[in-house]
Amino acid sequence: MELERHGDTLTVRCRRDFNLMTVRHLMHHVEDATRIRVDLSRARIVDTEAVMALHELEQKGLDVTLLEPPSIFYEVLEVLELESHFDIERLVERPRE
Amino acid sequence: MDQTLTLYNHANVIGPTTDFAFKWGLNVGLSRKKALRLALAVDELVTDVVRFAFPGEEATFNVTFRADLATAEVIIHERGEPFDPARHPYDPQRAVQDGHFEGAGFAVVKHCVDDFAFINRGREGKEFRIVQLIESQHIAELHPTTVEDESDREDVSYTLSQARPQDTEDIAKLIYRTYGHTYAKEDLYYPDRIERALENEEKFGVLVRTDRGRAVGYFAVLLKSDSQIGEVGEAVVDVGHRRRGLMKRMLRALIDEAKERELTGVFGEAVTVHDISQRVNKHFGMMSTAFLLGLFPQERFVGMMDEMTQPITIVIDFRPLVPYDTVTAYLPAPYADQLHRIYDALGAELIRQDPRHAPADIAELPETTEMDTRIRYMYNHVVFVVDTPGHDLPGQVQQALSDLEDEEMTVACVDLPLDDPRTPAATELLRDIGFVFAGLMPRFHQGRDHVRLQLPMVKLDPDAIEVYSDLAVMLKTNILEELSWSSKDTETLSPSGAGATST
Repeated sequence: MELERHGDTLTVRCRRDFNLMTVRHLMHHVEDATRIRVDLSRARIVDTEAVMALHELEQKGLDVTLLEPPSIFYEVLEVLELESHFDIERLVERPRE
Repeated sequence: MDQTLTLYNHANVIGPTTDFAFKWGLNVGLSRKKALRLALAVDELVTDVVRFAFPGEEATFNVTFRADLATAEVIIHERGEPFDPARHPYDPQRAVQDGHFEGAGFAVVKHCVDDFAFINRGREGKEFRIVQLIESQHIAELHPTTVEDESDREDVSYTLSQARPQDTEDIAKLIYRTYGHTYAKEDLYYPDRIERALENEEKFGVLVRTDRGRAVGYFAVLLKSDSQIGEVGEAVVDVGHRRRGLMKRMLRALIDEAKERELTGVFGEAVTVHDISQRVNKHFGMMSTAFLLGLFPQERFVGMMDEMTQPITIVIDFRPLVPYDTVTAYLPAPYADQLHRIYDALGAELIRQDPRHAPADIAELPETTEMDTRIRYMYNHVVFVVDTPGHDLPGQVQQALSDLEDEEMTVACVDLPLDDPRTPAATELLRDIGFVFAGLMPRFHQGRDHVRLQLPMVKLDPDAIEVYSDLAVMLKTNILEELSWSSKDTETLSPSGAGATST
């Protein structure tokens, strides 16, 4: 996972799937960031641990955006009936076509 | 063949295991989309084990990858804290309001795979089983299957050759031309499945072509993955080329090949909706060794026997390729006479017990059973292959059947190794919960003989079960008597099996 900080924005580039391991790294580095951008262009899978982490970060009032999540992410949100909870237009920087 | 990973409950195993699942899925024939969903399901289950199965301690668990031509199955087996996913349903409102995502992973798993089963194995832990069906294209969708009929030619000559991957389309066409949609071995309608099986050396076969190159005969042996025996399971001769000795020539070639490959025996699973297959098996020197009630669903035979309304019973016919000389076997007393007769027919000269080990009493059994649960989802049956029988064998079997209730199993079988002195005691335990004799499964697992017990969970009409050989008649008579089954008596039984007798 690659991390970049610009002011209070933390940009995270996942080298692999967005899973428990990635979530643990991410949570460890959030610190005082108020905005988090997660680049998922190289992730094949986004699992429920990742969805839980996104929910937790939003609950904490952080501004989270995702870049190029894999299509299975939308499927997971649909199964968990969370599509309306997460504002996809705002959450995903490049919304699905 | 199974591939098993033994993993520590560390978060860093999740990624590599998920990657392996994805690539393994592709290799066994899943589409990219299905392989990815399988990988996500594996990710969710492995994550669950890592997070919750062993609170505060380091432990290992197993992930087994098992595939045949039609299904890809992953089994996650751990011996951690008791847990039942059915008691933890996912609630989206609770997730949003309280951040409690309990059950979310299982909801995703169920969405991603074609089948999901949870089996509580008591002291032996828990198994999460996920199955993805492998998509293939049916031969009827691929190419026209009609070809010029040359059966009237007097001067036609034939060539036998080993079936190769490039022959698969001709084989599928031959099956389709000959049987329409009625052939029991469904894999033969899918050229890519045949190709995969030949490439992976899961089977070998012979193909007969006419001098003009038309495929008119095919016969194959399917190798068992856990023993040096093979099933003579796929046979077809074009209708216009029958009664010309092709079947015999092919079988002779196959038996020669089987001997060259050092197989110790071949067997057939003959259906009992007619006796044709059983007659053919007998003609080729096979002996009936087991009578398996309702092993296959009737749907497999649609069009062949329109009147069939019950699951199909099978007779196992076996021919040893390496002679039976002296057999070490602990025969369960209630079935000793029948097993003796079967062994006699197979040519066993002497059946003895190991002088160092007397048969064990029930009290001498270990606490826990070690066994492999083999679920045939498409065929609605399950076989428990026991390695070490223990006190908890009936409990484990009953719990598994209860966990599999949604799968609508028609029969459960237990294979016990006959060279184990604990087998008679284990048989007694299984009889107490309604299991009855099924027969001998010769050299079926790791080259060892197993006695098979069975628990039918649907009642069948005995009059619709046709058997041919004397041994098959004996097995049918005794097994139906043990079940107290009478004719025209059909109903569904409970998985506990306690009432596995007619009312």
